[in-house]
Amino acid sequence: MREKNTPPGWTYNPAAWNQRVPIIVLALGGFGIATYLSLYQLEVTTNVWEPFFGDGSVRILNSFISNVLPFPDAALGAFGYLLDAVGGVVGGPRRWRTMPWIVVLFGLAVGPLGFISVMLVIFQPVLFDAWCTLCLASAVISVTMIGPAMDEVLASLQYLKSVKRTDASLWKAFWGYKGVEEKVEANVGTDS
Amino acid sequence: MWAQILNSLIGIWLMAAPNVLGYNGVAADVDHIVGPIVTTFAVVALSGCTRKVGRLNIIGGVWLIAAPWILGYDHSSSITNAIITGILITAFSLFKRQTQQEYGGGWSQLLK
Repeated sequence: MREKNTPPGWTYNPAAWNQRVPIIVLALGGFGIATYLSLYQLEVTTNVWEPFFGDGSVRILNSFISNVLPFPDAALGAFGYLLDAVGGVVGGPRRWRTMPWIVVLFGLAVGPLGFISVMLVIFQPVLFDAWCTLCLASAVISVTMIGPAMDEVLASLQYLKSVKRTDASLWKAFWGYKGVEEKVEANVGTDS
Repeated sequence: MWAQILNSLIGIWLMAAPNVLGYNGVAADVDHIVGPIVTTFAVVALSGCTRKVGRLNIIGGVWLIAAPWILGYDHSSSITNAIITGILITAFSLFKRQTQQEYGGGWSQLLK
């Protein structure tokens, strides 16, 4: 069934709530884990849960990579997940065209966060010969989010592409000015 | 879809293989690097709109097959493991997920 919010040429609406809620739930789970780990790194808590790899988590969370930034790397993760969750929530089911900026921001938050997670997973055994269970769980979450988030980004980019073909302002379309949408709609309407 | 699920499992196996089969050094490093990357691409390829990403695992698969010679693995189980997983990953990468959905012309639409 094609609802009116579905982008042209799509069989479903990637900005529909049933598409976005799972991503938001994942992001909140990741935020919980990353917050827990950063509390340990900030020495608020003295222990970290590690059921499988002995002192693995302790070694990873105190490694030099974890301290490259002026704040714990898990805190960066927590911020990233929060950005993902907020980026998932903001806007209605037509946001791929009404607010492309939030969709693009959301995509930029999800993509690089996943990339950094995978890099950190590689560092664990290669640099430190240790594994950290919750760090792996967090990485699984951020990698799982990438695919489901990208369809919405694609819909927004396609919309911006169609704006470019008209004489409407791409800049205004990106920030979701009201008038642009109608202008594009009128133009696309006469094309097809 | 099953091909991507299998590839993501093989990637996880590669992360564990050096410990399970008992080898370390450069062979273990290759497995520890290629494993997470293969799993990541395979998981991303589970989504219809990014299913083509699964093809990138051909690079990882072929590298696994070639690495024992290029880097000179010295442990027979690491060589066997690299070749078998490399062949499987490459083969499964060739399967692209079927989808009934349409994505407004997909990513290539952006380049037109």
